[in-house]
Amino acid sequence: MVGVAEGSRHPQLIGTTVNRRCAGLGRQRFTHCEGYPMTEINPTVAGRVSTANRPWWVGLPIIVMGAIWLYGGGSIRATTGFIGIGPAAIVDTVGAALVVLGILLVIQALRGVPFTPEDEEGANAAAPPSRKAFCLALGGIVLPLGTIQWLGFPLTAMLVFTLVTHAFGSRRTVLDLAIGLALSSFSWYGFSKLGIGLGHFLPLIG
Amino acid sequence: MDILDQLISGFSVALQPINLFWALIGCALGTAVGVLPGIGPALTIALLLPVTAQIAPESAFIMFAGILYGALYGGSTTSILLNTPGESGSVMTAIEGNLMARKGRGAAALATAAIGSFVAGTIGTAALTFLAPAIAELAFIFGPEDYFALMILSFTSVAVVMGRSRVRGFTSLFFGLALGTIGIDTQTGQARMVFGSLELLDGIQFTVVLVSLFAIGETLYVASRQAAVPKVINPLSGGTWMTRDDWKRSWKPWLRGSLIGFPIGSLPAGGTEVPTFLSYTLERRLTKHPEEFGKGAIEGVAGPEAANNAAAAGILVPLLTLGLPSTATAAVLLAAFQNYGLQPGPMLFTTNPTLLWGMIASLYVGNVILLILNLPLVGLWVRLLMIPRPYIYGGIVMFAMVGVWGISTSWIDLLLVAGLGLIGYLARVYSFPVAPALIGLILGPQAEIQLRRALAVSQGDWSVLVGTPIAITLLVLAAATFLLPMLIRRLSRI
Repeated sequence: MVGVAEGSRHPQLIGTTVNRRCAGLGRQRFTHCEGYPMTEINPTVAGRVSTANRPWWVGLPIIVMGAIWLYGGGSIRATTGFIGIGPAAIVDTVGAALVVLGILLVIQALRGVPFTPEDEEGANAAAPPSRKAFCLALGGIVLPLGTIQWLGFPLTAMLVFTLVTHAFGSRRTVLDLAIGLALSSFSWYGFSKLGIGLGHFLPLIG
Repeated sequence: MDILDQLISGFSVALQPINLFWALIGCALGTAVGVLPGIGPALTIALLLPVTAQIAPESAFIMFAGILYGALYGGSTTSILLNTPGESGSVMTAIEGNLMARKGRGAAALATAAIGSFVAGTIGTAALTFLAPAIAELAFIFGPEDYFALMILSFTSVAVVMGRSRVRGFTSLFFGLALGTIGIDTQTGQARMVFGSLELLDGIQFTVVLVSLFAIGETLYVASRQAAVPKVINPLSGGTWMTRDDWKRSWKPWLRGSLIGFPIGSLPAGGTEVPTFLSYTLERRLTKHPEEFGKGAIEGVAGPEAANNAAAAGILVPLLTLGLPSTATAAVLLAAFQNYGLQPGPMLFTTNPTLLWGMIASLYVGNVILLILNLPLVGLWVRLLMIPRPYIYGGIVMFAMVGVWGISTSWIDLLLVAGLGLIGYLARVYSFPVAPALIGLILGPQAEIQLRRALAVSQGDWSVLVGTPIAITLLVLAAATFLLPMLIRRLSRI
């Protein structure tokens, strides 16, 4: 898995070799091998300046989160049972830092610093995002919230499996349900043998 | 001599049949997840954390070490055959390796990668064996202010090195630090940021955050932006194995790669990516066949593959001696230690030598197992690539659910998975690095403890933080890490 972080590239450390590396990679799958590539590769994006290229709102949730932490830090009762700094200090510091970083993000985005998607294994950053596939996958991730307590783990996992396979383009619903049930029952049984409880097999009937 | 005795006793642990069995499981699992897209060593170990409740710590860490090394071997296979680097450390291998495979030299590329990984992994492990106890000895003289400075250095370098911009790196770091403050404050017993929820009093589970940011975020991202599936090239058809000339051209890059990889890997934010890149650049400069670079030069596979495995051994140095994780995988290993109530660091060498030396010895054993698993059996792993993409991701999400639901069957955890999974998705869309958040989450609470301990000892005098030469040096290094990219950019503009 290429995590965003671990798959990151370092313009600063690479120095003069950047161009060579791009030349090597350019013919292959990694079209955006360095820095902020979308502007070079996709002329329509580079030419047009729209709000889509300046996602100033990305910083807002960070600011909100910082504000919540600042508020939370303020409401921690100051006890006297400590020397030095108390339990609220770190919460305040983190909150303040998040607010500052959020503001910096807003400024950066407004000044046109690119916020472009990452190329990852199996993903094409330049492809237009598919809303349907995203919603199916998201459905699979949200579904357990509603079903796990009465359908139990094996059936819920079966449905999750089917939703995710369909997000990735599978159309054989019955087969997917069967594979999902087999996998989930197997893991339920295997993990309970290992002493890890995944709840009742079917909570509805106990 | 003492180290050799310790190592021999370590081998007596690692070579017990039950531990050999776990090493084999770990190596096989590691190779498999290295080959498969969407799942890597960090996630695999995180999903296996609940198992630690059942098996002995020695066996668990021997298995985890196998996963750590195995993923690197597996990652090179997909880079070479499919040009899809499964791990970030394999990105450079993909360049020349894939070109070699297209020319029908896939078998030779796979062989030089596997043997190079073995050579470098063994050299790196040997360096770890002799270096780690010395560094651990050094760490005994560390006071709380020194530890705090070390963690500041770790935070700064992780936020600066990982990701494209420092603002985004630090945003990710502070996001993790913020999550780390949730729960009961260990020193005063006060609840912090729990939003009235009883379940949050224990804090947010590390596994939950890791699984959401990595597995769920990635699944959502890949689902929404699917690329065409590349065709599998069969490496075994008509390919020639390594020729005498290939050996002659490979052994020096192996050694050079090891020498680059290990020291960089052992830095607080080393990782496996920078050394592979440096090794590739170096081999390109030194080669006697410059015309072959860009067309499939074997040096371009041998060097980076060696660097990548040596760096993986290097990553264990700060982790085992100082308790300092520098990659997501190292952070998970730290979480695994904490699950057993152990704190990696100098004390571990004296209190738990069996575990530590058993694990180090198992790295040697694991390298041998992996060489066997990956040289003759490479065709088997390639078959894994024939599993249809929908089933791979369906399986990943299901096992993510097992991992999270298996911890405490808590509904709140599932809610956190959905929320943090969406955040992981957005992080990918707007290219924020994820690993600094994990390092912040796991290291933040410890940094806070050290800071408050230092200030408590000094009766609230802040100058204690720069009171020792070690602390000053580390803080200066942290400042340099922060400022260096800016300086380089300014200089290169002139």
